[in-house]
Amino acid sequence: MEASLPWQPDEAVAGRVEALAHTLRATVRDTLEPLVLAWHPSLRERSSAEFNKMLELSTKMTLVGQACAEVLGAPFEARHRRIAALFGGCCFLADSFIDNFGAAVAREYLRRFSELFATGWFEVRNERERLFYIMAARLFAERDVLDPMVRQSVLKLHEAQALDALLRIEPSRTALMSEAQRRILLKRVARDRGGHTIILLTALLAPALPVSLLAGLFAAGSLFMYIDDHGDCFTDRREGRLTYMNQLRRPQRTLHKIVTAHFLCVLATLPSGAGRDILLGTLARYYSTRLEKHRAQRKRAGTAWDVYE
Amino acid sequence: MNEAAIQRRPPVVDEVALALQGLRQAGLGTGYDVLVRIDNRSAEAGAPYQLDAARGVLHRRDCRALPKSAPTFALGRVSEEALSRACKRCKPMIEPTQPKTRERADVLFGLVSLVDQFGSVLKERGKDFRQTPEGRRLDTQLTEVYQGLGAREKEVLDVVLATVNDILARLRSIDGALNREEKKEGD
Repeated sequence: MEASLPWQPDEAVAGRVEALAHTLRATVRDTLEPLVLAWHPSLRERSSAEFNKMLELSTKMTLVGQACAEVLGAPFEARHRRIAALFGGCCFLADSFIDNFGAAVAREYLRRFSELFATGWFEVRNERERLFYIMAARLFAERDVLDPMVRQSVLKLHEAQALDALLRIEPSRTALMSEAQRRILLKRVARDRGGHTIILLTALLAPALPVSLLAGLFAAGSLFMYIDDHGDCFTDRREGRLTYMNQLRRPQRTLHKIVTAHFLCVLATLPSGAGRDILLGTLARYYSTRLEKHRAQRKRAGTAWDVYE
Repeated sequence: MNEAAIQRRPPVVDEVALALQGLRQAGLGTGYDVLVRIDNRSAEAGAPYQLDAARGVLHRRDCRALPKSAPTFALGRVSEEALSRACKRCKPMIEPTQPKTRERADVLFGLVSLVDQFGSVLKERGKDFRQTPEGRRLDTQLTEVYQGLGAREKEVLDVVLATVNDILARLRSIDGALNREEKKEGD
């Protein structure tokens, strides 16, 4: 790791995170693969790289889900692993609808998601949408979706994702802003995307969210997003996607400050124990691997600022 | 049917979920504007409390100490645990008459569990059950719950109850078709 963090996983924690990731990956595959084969077989047969990416994202969600459940002292059994895996699958597909098919399609999906959340109606138009709808329906069948925290978390995450997408496809939204204003907005969007993701995941897994733990969970979720955006810095720039991290001249230095501050927040607000260890251990592991990804991308494409310029 | 085919067979519950969406496309769901409404912002706007998720602080609605950019959740009622994180400026307290939404939801979910338990003989068993002391008690309770719901909630509940018959009919149809198919493969 580049520089010291306020907390470092010892060998036992690092080993447990590795072992959990391995075990949960198999569980996630058992949950998602039959659905993919049944409803969107070409994702498995023709696009195995994308399928594997979906499994990795869902595995990360499930690992984080287990950590959050343990922090809350809630059980994390077969049903909870299934919920976390389905949530990861839904997030992956929803992101792909918005990110992979151009601006006009992204706008149309944002409109249809808003309609889905306002009315429950979703006109299934192709295999990928069918898979998404089936995963969402199964996920919502596992939990009281009208629980005030759950339904608000769904909406908050949707709003944050929508704003992130609109900032990318409608540059005019930030054209009149100063550089500092734009950075503040982008940082807030990243914070909310990550924070609401982990709050929704935890709300789906646990019967109640203690207010005293909310800030720590939200900080951990936000940190995942900052690390993620840092890892994708160069790819995002090439694809014209605005993120807080790719607007910085020295993203690595800023990220380290953010990681340090967020680790301290998690340490101060979440109770010590296995759950917090897994959460911080996963974050430390993710930070380390995404720094490597960032370096690899820079080697391929020049300096960070060169690519943007 | 071989093992691979059985594993790949779409579960009935997924077929039902798709059939439900198909109702609207087939014109059968017209008139039902709302199937289930997750977006509850209009009701949440009047909630007395706001929870700042980034700081883990509970505020009264419109508290000036609540940053505009804060990621907030609207709360209709709060627990003692939430009050331990109360904003020192607006000092939120538990209101004496908080809405009993949780109790209403519990009764509604009890209704759903009855639907699940009675399945295809729902109506017949329901008529019998209504005559029992427990049924009469539940009937009174449900009537009170129904009267306590807002107009939108009543609409949603009406849609759900109206579509239960459609779902059960489709379930029976799909289940029958699958059983016939399995029997044919077995022969």
